[in-house]
Amino acid sequence: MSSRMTESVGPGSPDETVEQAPVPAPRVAVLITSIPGADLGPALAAVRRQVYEPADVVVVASDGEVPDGVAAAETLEDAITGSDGSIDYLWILHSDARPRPDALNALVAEVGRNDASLGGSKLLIAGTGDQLESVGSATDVFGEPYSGLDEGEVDLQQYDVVREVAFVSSVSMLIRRDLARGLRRLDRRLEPVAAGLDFSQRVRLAGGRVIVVPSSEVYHQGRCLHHGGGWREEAGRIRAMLKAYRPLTLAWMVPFALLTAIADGLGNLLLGRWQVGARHGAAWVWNLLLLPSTIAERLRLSSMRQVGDEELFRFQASGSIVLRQLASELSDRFLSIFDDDRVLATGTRRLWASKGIIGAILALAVGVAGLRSMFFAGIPQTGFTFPFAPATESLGRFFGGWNDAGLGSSAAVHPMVGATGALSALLFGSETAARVLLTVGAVVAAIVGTGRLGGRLGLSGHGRYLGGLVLLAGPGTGLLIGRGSWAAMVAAGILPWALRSIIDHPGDGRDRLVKAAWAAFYVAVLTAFLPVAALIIVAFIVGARLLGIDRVSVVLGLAGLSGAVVGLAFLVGDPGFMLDGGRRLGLDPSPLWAVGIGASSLAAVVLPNWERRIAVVGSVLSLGLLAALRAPVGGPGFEEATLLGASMGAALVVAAGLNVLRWEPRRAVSALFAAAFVVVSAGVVLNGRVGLPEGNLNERLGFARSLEEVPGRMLLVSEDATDLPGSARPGPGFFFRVVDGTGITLDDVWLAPPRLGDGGLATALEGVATGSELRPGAVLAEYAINWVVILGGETAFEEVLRTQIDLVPTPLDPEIRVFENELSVGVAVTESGSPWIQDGLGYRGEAEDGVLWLGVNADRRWGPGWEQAEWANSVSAAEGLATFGGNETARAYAIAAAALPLLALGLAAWRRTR
Amino acid sequence: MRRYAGPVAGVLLAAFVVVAPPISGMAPEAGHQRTDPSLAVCHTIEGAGRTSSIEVAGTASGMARATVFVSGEAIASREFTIDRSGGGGLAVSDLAPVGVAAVAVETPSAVAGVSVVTSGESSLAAGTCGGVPAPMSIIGGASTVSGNSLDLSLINPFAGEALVNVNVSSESGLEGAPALTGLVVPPLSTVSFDIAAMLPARERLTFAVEATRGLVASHLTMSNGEDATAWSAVEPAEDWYLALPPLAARSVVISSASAADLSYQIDVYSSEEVMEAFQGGSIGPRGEVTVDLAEFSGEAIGVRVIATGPVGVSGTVMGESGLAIAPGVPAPATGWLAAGAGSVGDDSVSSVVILNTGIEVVDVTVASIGGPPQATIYSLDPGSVRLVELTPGRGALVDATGEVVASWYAVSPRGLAWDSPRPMPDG
Repeated sequence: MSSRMTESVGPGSPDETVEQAPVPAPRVAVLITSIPGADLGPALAAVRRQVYEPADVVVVASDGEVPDGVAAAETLEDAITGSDGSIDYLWILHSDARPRPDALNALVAEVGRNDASLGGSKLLIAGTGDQLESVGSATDVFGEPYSGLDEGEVDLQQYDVVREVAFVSSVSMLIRRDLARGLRRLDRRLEPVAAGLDFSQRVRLAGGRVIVVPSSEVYHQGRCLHHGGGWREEAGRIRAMLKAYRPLTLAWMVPFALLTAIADGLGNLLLGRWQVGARHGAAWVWNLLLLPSTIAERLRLSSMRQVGDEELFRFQASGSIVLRQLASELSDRFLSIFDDDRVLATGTRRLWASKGIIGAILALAVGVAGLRSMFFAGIPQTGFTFPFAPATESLGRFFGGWNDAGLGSSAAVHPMVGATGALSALLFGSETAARVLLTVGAVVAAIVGTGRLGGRLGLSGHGRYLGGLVLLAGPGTGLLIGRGSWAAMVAAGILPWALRSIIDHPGDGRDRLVKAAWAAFYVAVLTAFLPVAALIIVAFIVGARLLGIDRVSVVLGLAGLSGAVVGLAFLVGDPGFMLDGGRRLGLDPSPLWAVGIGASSLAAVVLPNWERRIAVVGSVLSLGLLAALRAPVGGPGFEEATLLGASMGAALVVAAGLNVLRWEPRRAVSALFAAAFVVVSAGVVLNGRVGLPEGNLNERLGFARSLEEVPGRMLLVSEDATDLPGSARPGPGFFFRVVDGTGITLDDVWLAPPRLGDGGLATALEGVATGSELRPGAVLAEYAINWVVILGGETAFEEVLRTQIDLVPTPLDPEIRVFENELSVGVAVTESGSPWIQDGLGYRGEAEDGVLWLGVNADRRWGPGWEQAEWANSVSAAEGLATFGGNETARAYAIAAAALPLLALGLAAWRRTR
Repeated sequence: MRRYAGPVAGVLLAAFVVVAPPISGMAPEAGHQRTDPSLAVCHTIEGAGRTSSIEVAGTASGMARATVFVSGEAIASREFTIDRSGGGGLAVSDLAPVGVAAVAVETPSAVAGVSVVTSGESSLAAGTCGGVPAPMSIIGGASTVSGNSLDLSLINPFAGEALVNVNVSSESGLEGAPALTGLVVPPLSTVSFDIAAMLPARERLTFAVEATRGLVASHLTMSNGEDATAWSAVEPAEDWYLALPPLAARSVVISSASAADLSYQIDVYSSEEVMEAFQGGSIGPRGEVTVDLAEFSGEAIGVRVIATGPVGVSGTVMGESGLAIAPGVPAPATGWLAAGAGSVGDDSVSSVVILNTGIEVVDVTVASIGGPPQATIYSLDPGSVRLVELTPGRGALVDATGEVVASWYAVSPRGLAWDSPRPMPDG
C-alpha cells in the first residue's frame, strides 16, 4: 500500500516549500459529522494522524455526545458558519470514515492545484482490503449515481487520475470555506450519497469545479449507508434534482422520472422484487411532502447560480441508469435459462465455449423455423386446435358453467379451458395473444425445459436441448400433435419443467417447502393441458428411483401430484376420458421408434455411469409407456399421457446420447441413434406448424356465419374421425359430432359423455343412415341442426342423403358437402318463433310471454322456470334471458384447481421473500 | 448386475412393443343394411280430357302422403288414408290443379305398390310409380312413327339437383340428341322433352338415362291418337319376365344398355308348353330387338328374357280398345301388389295374369285390396299361365306358395291399361 501513497504536499513536505514562494499553506478545519453507530474516537485519531495538520477539528453531533477537548457544533451549518475566518478549506468527514494519513494532504494539494471548489476522496470499503466504494460518480439526468465500478472491484490504481466528476460522496469532501458559507451547508434531510450529489451540484451551479482526488484514500465503514434505507437516498436524489434544474428541464425530467420509476417497479416485479416499486413510491411521496422546503432551497440557490443546466449535463450519462441495469438483469436472467454457467451474462467471449449453448441455439432455431407457417397463416384451426373462447366465457365454463360442446352438458370442461381463459384475462382479454404466446412459448419451453431437465439430472452437453425437439415431435408427441392436439404441444412445453421440479438439487439453495410448492405448481399447470399427467410423473419417479437416479424425489413427486387436482373435475365428469379404451384416437407410433429406443438402451451400457443411467431411465420410461399403450384399458387421456411420456423418455435418451460430442467408440452407437431421433423429430417440427396439421375448419365452415345471422348448429359427418374437429361420436359407418355454426372454439373440442339428446340424435342418425328416412331434415330439426356437413371422402351417409327431400344440398365448398336444413328453427326459440342468441354462457332474446325451447341437453339448472321438453329444455321467456345455474360440484373442484397453483406460487414467493 | 438390468428391461419392453398388437382407436358402428325410403314417384297428367288418380295397395294401414312438386317447390301436399285392407287412393285433381306433374307418394309401409291410373274419354293408362330410381336406367319400346306423340319426362323428386345424360338409340343406331346430354334436373322438378318433335319417324327408340349426380325417374308417355300409354324406365338386368294379357297383338322389346354386342334368348310360357329359346339372337351396342308374339294370340302367355348383358325389357300389347306398354320385371316373387288393379271404372274389366316360372305347382291367392273382401285360391302348374278376373277395388294382392310373375290389365271402351305390379319382398 505504501508504494501507492501519494506524495505529500503538506506543510511537512520540504520539496514544496523549497522552490515556491513563501505562500502560507491553506488552513483547513475538519468537520466530523457524527454517524449513529460509528465510534468518534478512531475518527478523531485518524484525523490527528494526518500529515497535513488541520487548523481546527469540530464534531457535528446533534446529540451533543462529544469527547472532551473537542469542539462541537449541533449542525453542520452551525459548524460552517462558526468556522474561523482564517480557514480556507473545510474537510467534511463522516465519523465512520478512516482517512489515510495523507488523505487531507492530497485533497488540499489537488483542490488547490486544479483550482477546484470541491474535492472528494477515493472511498475504499473498510474491512475488505482494497475494494472500491467510490471514485467520484457520474449520474443520469434523474440523479441516479453511476460509479462505473463493478461489484467487488479492487483498487489497482486504475482510477487514480484527478478528474472532474458529477459529484463526490459527502463521506470525505474538501470544500472552499467561502463557498460552503455561501451554500450554507449540506442538506441535512439527505442521506450521504444524495447529500454529496446535492452539494456537488450546487457547487457546480455556483461556478465551482468538483473533482475527485484518488490519491486521497479514505476507508469507509459504511454505517451511514445503513441509516435511512434506500428509498431515502432515492428521495434525496430526486430532491437534489428538483433543486438544481431549471424549470424547463424539470418540465420533461419529472414525467420521465415518474415513467422510469414505474417501469423499474414493474420490471423488478417480474424479478420478484416488489420493494423497488414501493421504494419509488415512497421517494416521490416524500418529495411531495417536502415540496415547500424544496422550493425554498431552489430560491436560495438561484441567487448563486452562475451556470446553466448544461454544466450538469456534461457529467451525466445518457439514458436511464436504472432501466439499463434492469434490462441488463432481465437479459441476464433470460440468458441464464440457457446456461447454468451464466456464460452469456458474463461475456460473449466465453459464449461458444459454453457447454450446451450450441445445442440450445440449434434446437431453438429448428423450433422457430418450425413455427414459420404460423407466422404467416396463423395457427391452424383443425383437429384439437382451435381459438380460445373469450376469457370470461372460458372461465365461466371452467368454474361450473354450461359445457357447450356438442348438445351441451353440465359436466366439467377440459381444464385447459380454464387455463387459457386465465391467461387471456391476464393479457387484457386478448385470446389471440394468449394463443400465440402459449404456442410459441410451448416450443421454446419444451426445448429449454428439456435442456434444464438434463442439466438438473447432471448433463451439460448439447444433447439436452436437442432432446427438446424429440419431446416435441418424438414417438408419441409427433403423433398427438400431428392429430391436431395443440394441448399436447403445450403440455410438452411444461412437462420437462414439471419433471425437473421433482428432482431434488441440494445446491440450488431453495428450501424443501419452496421446491414442493414449485412441483405442485408445475404439475398443476401440466395437468391443465394433460389431465392424466400424473401417470407420467409416477412413471418417471418409479423408473428413475429403480434405475438409480436418486435425485428424483419421492416427496417432491408426491407434492407435485397434488397438482393433479386440476384435472379432477374433468375426469370425474368424464371417467371414460381416462378409462375407456374404445374412445382412443388409435395413435400408434412406428415400431421403429421402439426398436431404436431399445437399441439405445442396450448401447447405453458402455456409456459413462451417469449418462448411462439417464439414457436407461429415458428408454425404460419411453418403452414402458409405449408398452402400457398396448393395454386395452385407458381412454384418450391415458393415450395422450403415455404418448407424451414416451417422447419425454426418448428426449432423455437423446440428451444422454449426445451429451458429449467427440469421437469415442463407446459413445458412437448411442450418439448415432440419438442423432437419428433428432433428425426424424426435426423433420416433423419443420413442417412449418411444429407438426400440427394444416387447415382452418372455422374458415371452411364460415359459410353459415355468412349466410345466416344466427348460423345455428351443424352436424359434421365423416368416415374418418380425423376430419372432424375434436372428439367425435361413432355412428353407423361414420363418425359425427355437433358444433355451433358461430365457430369452433377450444372449449368445444372435447365432448362430454352422451346425455339424453346425444342418445336421441344417435338413434335418429341410425334411422337416417339406413336410407329409409325420406325427410331427414325434419328428424334433425328436432335437434336444432341447421346444417349437415360431410367432411373428407365420400361416405355411405352422403349416399343416403341423395334420396331425401328436405335437406338441400348447397354447393359452397368443393371439398365439403353441405346440406342446409331449412326446417330447423334454431337452438333457442320462443313459442312465437323468435330466435334467441347465445350470449356468453346463456341465451338472450326478446322477452315475451310463454316459454323458450332450448335445444341443449335437458338439465334442471337451466332457468328461469325450467321444465324438461323431451331431451331438451323449456324455460320462461319472460325475462329475455335463459341462464344455467351452474354445476356446484364442478365449481368446487375448479376453485380448488385454481387455488392450488396460486397457493403454490404464493408460498414460493413468500418463502423467497423471507 | 444393476448396470445391465435397465438395458435388458429396455430391450424386453421394446420387443413387447413391437410384437404386441396395438389397440385400435374408436371405430364407427357397423353400417346398417341400406333400405330405400317408402317413396313412390308418379308421373301424372291433368287436363286435355284426362285425369290421374293415385292408387296404393299395401299390407299396412295408416296415413300416406302425396306431394305435388313443380319447379323446385312442393306446391301441394296431402295426407290420405290407407285402409285396413292396405288400399287407398287420391285423385290428383284433389291435390292441385296442375297439368303434367310429378307426385311423390310416401306410404306408411315400404311394402306397398303405388300406381297412377290416367283415364280420359278415349284413353286409359296405368303405370307403376317407381321407388328410388337407379343411377342408370333404360326405357325402350317407344316409337314416333305414324304420328305417335312421345314425351320423355325426367323427374327429380329429391332435394339435390341431378345431372343427367340420355343416350338415344333407334333403328338408325345412336341418335345425336345434344339437348339430352348434360341435363340439369333441378330438385323437386320435372324436365320433359317432346321426342316426336326432336326425333320424328323413328320406329324403335330406346333411351338410356344415366345420372352422374343425383337421381331421376324417367317416364315415357306415348299416344297414337286412339289411346295413350305411360311406362317408366327400369334398371338394366340380364333376366326379365313378363306376363302378357290375352290380346291380339303382342310383342316384347329388348333394349340393350350395353356398349357391346350381347346375346339374348326368349322363352315363352304358353298354355300348351314352355317354349325355351323361342327366339334368340344378338343385339348390337345400345340396340333394340322387337320380338313379335302374334302367334300366341288369344291366350295369356308368359315370357322370360335371358341376355348376356344388361338389357331392359318392355312388352307392348294392342287390343281393339287401344295400346299399352309395360316394363318387365327382373325376377319372379312370391307376392305381388297390383295397385290400381280393379280401380279403372265400372265400364272396364280388370284381370291379373299370373305366370308360374317354377318347376313345382304353386297355390296362388288373389285378394282384392280396397274393395269388397274377396280372396280366391288357384293352383298353378309349373310353367303355366293363369288369368284371374278382379273385383273392383284399389288393387290386388297376389300371394303364392312359390315364385310367380304377375301383371294386371284392364280393358274398357276408353282404352287399354296394362301394368307390371310391384313385387313383395320375401318374408
